Amino acid sequence: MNDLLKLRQQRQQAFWGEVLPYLRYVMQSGLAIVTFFLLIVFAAWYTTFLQNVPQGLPVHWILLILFTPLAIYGSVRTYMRTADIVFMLPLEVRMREYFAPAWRSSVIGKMIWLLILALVAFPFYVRADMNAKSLSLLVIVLIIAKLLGSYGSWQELRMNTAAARVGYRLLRYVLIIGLLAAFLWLPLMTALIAVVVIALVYIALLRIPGKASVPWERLIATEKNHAAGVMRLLGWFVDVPNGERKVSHRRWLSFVGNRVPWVPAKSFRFLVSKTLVRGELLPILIRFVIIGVVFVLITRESWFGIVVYLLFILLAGMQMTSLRKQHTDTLWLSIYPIPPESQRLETVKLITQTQVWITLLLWLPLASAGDPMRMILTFIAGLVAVWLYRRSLNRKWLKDIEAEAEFD
Amino acid sequence: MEQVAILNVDHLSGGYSRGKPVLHDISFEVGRGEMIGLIGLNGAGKSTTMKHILGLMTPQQGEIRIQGSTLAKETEQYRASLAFVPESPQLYEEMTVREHLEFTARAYNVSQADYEERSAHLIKLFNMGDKEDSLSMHLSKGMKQKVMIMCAFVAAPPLYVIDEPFLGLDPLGIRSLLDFMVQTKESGSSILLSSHILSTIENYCDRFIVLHKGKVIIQGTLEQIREQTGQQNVPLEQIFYDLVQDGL
Repeated sequence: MNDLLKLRQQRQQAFWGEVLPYLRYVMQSGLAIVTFFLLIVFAAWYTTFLQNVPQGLPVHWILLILFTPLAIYGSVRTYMRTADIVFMLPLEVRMREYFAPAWRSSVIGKMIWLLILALVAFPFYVRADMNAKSLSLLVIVLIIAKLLGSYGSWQELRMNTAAARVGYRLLRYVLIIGLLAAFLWLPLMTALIAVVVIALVYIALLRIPGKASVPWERLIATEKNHAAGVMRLLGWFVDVPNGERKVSHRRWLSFVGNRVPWVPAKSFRFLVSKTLVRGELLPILIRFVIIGVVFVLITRESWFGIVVYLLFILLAGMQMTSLRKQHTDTLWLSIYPIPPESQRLETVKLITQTQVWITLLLWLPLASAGDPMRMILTFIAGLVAVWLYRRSLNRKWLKDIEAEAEFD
Repeated sequence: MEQVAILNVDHLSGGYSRGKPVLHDISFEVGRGEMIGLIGLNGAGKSTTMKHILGLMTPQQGEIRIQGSTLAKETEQYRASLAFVPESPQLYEEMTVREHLEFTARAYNVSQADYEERSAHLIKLFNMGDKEDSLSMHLSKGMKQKVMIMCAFVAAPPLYVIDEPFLGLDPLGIRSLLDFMVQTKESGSSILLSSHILSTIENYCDRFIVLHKGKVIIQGTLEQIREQTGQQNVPLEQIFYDLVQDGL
């Protein structure tokens, strides 16, 4: 316990030791082939696209949307555990030894992805913007944005009041978007001055609120969410144990599920509707749809747009399969007089209905482009994809039920 | 008075593995309108017995019937006949207190009118009015336990299986629960209650079943147990202590 650096390494190894065996199954599920295929298709499309970049594209907006999520997102894997609040509390003054490598590896890891994105997007940037700034400057500004985002989100965790944490999170979003926007839109010198001023002001503002030396409970809760996130991602492909779930009240959505018919066979629908609107899946889906709409918008003029459209519909369905796994082990479903098949029927129905809405939302950017027949056929293809996904989900679920029954 | 049995546990043996049963040939009944105390040391088999009744474990031998129905043959009828309060609250983090009650009412086919009436009464009785729209994850352990208890009572089935309900409850909560259990029993429902607080349940339960090392070592009313053990005017706690000390 005294060697904090070693302890973190052991925990990191233990976590990934648990995750890695699943990756083999993820690869076997066809992900590797699909990813490889998509990379080739994307490379082919992007090369063609770069040779003839359409005039009048909102290049600054597109780059801002591409860079912002990776620049803002500043999670740190601490691998902390619930018992730490008891056993590691006496070591509080030395916890910097534990957190420093965690912070470093997190920032470097995410920065690499951001820089890869920058390298991929740069050819588009220089072709679409006559006054594009140099790659080296773009990289430096992205590194500054990433460092600020990670430092800010870490300081937010330490803040004592919920109001300060929410306020500073918003401030982080606004300032980092502002910083990237200033770099993209303003002339070179003004842009650089703006970047430096924003960075200094942000660092100064972060010193104001009261902070805990080590925010034990928040760090543990955040770590649980991260671990659950990894498991959820794996859960798209293989059966993994349910992790801790993050829940938000979202009072404005409390009405969802209340109009479900008042009969035992539909009671599971009531529960799973609440799970959908209060769990982590909803914000994931919202972000996913926004990204999907942007991608469909960018690619809608070519055949690749249809591939992207169908791909996003299927990926949305895959994300929603986590709903299936969230209530597999709950005591009440074994005890309450709910028809056993209603869990499957109601979950699949909810996934399908949500997927149809997503199909419609993703179709909107397509609806204003191309000829009407192509538009309609694309939408029908989207609905067929939803139907096929529903069939496959149902079939797989029934197969699993049969396998469980045989095992019993 | 001849009791009509709501729950029949008949020569039940069971456990987690075939070679090592936890329960050995257990038989008892819970009559209509009876409150039965299931008592025993840690590991005596109380929770395992309850898990068998709930259908979470399959008997290796013997049979369990609720109002004549078995889980294997009349699954939905069996399930609709019982409600369970676990020792540790198990709630859905994504649902509020009110939504838990509503989910339970929907599952047990309680009419909307009955649900409204019962939930209003229970929320008031357990002093949860200012928490009814809170997510369960934001409740204290005692409050979570109250939600578990309210969920069971909103369903209003013929049989309640209640495991250590007093853990985490404040004194007012304990009193409300005991009073409500008495009312429930008087209305004709039956309760199988497990608790270590023998001085409390001594005054509320009609009969007691003492489990020790997976066997029923004695059962009956307090008077019958006193007679069988030859200990007149001795509190239940002392009798229990002597019984398990002898059997250790």
